[in-house]
Amino acid sequence: MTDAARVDGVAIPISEIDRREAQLRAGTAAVALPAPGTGEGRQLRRWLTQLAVTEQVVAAEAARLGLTGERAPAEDDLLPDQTARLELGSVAAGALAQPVGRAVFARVTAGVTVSDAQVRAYYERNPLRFASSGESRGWRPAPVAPALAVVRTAIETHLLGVARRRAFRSWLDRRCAETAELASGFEHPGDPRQPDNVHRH
Amino acid sequence: MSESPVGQRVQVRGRIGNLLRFTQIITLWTGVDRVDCHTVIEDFRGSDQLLRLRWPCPVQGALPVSEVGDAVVGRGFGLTHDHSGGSRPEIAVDTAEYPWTLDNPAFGWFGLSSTVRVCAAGQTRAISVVEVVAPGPAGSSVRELLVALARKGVTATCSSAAGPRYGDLAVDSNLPDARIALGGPEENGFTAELLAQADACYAREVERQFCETGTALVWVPADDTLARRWVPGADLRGPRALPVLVVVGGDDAVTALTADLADARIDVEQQVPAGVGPFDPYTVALLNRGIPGFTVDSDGTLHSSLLRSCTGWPSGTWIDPPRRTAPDGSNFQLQHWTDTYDYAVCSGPGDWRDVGLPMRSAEFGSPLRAVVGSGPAAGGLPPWGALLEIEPAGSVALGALKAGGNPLPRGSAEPVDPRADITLRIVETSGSTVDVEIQSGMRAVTSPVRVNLLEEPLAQADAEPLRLHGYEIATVRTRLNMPQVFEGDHAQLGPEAEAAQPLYARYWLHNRGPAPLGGLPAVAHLHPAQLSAAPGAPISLRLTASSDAVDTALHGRVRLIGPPGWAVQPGVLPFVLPPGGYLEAGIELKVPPAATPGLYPVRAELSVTGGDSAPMPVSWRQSVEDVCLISVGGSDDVPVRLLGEPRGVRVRAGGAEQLTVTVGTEACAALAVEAHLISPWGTWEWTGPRAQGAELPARGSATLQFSISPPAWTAPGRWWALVRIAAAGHVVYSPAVDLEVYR
Repeated sequence: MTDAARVDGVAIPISEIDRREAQLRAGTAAVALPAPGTGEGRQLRRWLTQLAVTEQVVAAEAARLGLTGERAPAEDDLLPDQTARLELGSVAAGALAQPVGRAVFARVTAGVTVSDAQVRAYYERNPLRFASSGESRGWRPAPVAPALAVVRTAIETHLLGVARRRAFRSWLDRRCAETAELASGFEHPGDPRQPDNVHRH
Repeated sequence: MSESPVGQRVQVRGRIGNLLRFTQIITLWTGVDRVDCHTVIEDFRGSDQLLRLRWPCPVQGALPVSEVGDAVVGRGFGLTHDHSGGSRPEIAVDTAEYPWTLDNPAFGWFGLSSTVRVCAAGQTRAISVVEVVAPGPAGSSVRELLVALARKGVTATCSSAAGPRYGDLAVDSNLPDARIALGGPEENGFTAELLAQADACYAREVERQFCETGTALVWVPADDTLARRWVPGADLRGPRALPVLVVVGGDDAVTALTADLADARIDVEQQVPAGVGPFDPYTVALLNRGIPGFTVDSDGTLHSSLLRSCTGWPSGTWIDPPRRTAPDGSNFQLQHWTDTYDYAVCSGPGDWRDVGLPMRSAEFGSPLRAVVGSGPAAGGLPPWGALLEIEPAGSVALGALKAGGNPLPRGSAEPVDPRADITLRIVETSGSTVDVEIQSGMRAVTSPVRVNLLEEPLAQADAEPLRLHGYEIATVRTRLNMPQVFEGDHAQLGPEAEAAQPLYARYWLHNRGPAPLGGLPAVAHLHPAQLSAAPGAPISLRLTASSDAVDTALHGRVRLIGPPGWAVQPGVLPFVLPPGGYLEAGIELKVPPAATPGLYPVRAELSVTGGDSAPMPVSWRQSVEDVCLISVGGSDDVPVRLLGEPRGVRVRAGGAEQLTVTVGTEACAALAVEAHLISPWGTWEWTGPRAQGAELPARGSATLQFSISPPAWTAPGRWWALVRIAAAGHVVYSPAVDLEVYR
């Protein structure tokens, strides 16, 4: 076996995982990486396999839809902050580093909407989320909850961003499950059947 | 070998190849019924090797038993050596091949003993870890049985006959040593399978007992000994892999078995052989002081895990360069310095309850602290006596004693006064129900009131005695009606403030672990914490101040300190924060047009001057500050740097040396710096201060000194120390240098 995985028949050779690992180990974060050949070192290679598989799944989808990276949304629009990155997970967030990944994101999540009821419910739960205390010098008066009309767009943008990331994540999981075959030693890091996942009860 | 009126001592020195040198000191104190041991490991060079200490103490038929946080539990044998008859049982198994060695943590002690004994056909078998196989969904009588087993220390797991068996190391974290099957072959498929495979005499015995009495209790032996079955990689799911106690007769039989557990002994009267090996009713245990990892081999060797020397991720991982290591270049998890261990061995006839292990281990773990009094005895105190007594002493331990109330953690300014009331945590340690009495040799103790963890009273009838069930942990409040014997009202029992002042608002960025001591419930933050600006540019910052105080408004001020020559408006902001209150302010400043490129800190220091309920806790007088770092002209200067690294210290026991670091800042205004001395266990008593603070002047430096002064009785050894320095959310670690003590 010379392939770490196959996505819809397209091979991801083990040499590709080697290349990615070597690149990481040559970088500044190398001291924080687990030693090669250890259980944690193999988990790192499984994680790199997930990155490669995800990229291939996204690339295949882009080819199928005829998408290039042109006019793709900016990374900051899809992942405005660290919270959004954590929400999506490192593997899926990695796929959005390339414009073509973001173009697929835009297409796959184009139909996602947020209802008025969701916006209103969020506003009622978090009345001060987008409140402001003004710009004056010195102590400012306590913030007052703005009217829904004033913050509706801000709430909508926020909720839509979250909903699209969730939709993309579910789509990606589904596509990986349908199209990716992982070789022994390159299973998902969290797969309880592989020996380096040492979570036991 | 040495001897004195207080005891005898053997001292052994040796080495294991090139791996380590050891000193083993074994002491017998006159009149103390245990063997005290002290092991020192020096020049350890191991890597990915587990250093275990072995005490071969075989007790026939005994099983591993250990104390955990609030109970005593039966454990299985460790799977560290292959005793199934293969070659070289003295070589430990390779954990790469057999990762599940069943090492366990023990709280105060572990050993060979029995939690519950089964006495069948004149023979005795200890049981430790049991799978209870119910015929179907377990009812309340089964639950009672499991609770009774747990109270006696048996690790019990319930399963149903049709479900998967417990005992496969591929999925289970533990292995059973016996099974209890509830129901005869008609009700319980597992019983049927077992009796079909065992000698026919067992099925006939079940039948005979059932016909005569309507119930049956039969011990069906396993097809091999536990030691031969219980091997690395074991799979014990087969019906004959372990002995099985078959219980027939419905709920009544289960309830009768539950009742029989009260004396930690199950009596089985059967006319067929029990197939059990010899059994000595004896206990031997190793009491530990901070070395909890253990396994007991099936050949009766007690192993205590001393050193792990791990290179597996994240051991040795250092995220921000330069990577720091122990002085020999090894990662800190390899523990390549002088390591000392204290433990004791004790034994006696009977099980762990008869030997009184919980109390003996508590006595070993918390040695009596003798203090030489200063000045004449006051208040007519007798020459000896107990200030506090808790009965029954053998099975109830005092976990904590403190002044009643917990105001600081919840942001309350309420004073505490131990004369008003005290809080005690008491722990039942023997697994039995007991009535507890709290007394003082000096005066009455008013009847204790049960409280919850927040020390709020629980519903309790007045006349109710203080009764604890097995292993119960109870918190009670009471009052010590003591006469005053000396004047100690204003004695400070511990520090009221951090050594480094002011406190830093984002303390977690300093890698310092816990929040600053004192529970100051107010803080100020500057937003953003760092930014870039051009000379002449106006800057707006947001300042927030908040209070977590619950029962007082806080009065105080926030002082804003900009770099010299910078106008910061406003400069002082007085405040009154109601309980739980929050304030926000706009701060405006301007980078002077002539500012040279560099790093310019703006500090916001919050001080509480008073509350509306006097008096305020002393610790709330500490100031806390946040710092915004402004980079002008694209400067990449850093707020804190190590200018002078520490040097290794070699010191005679009884002497004193200094460990010195010089730290500097590139910032164009003064900054507060905090420094912590980090060194391994064994050195903390004679190195310090553990923390200190200093003010670094603009583009200046400060020299910080730490004293290394081992007392004359310190045993020679080699350790290390490093200094962690932090300012304005930036952290620098010095290299670790040698600390060597000689005589």
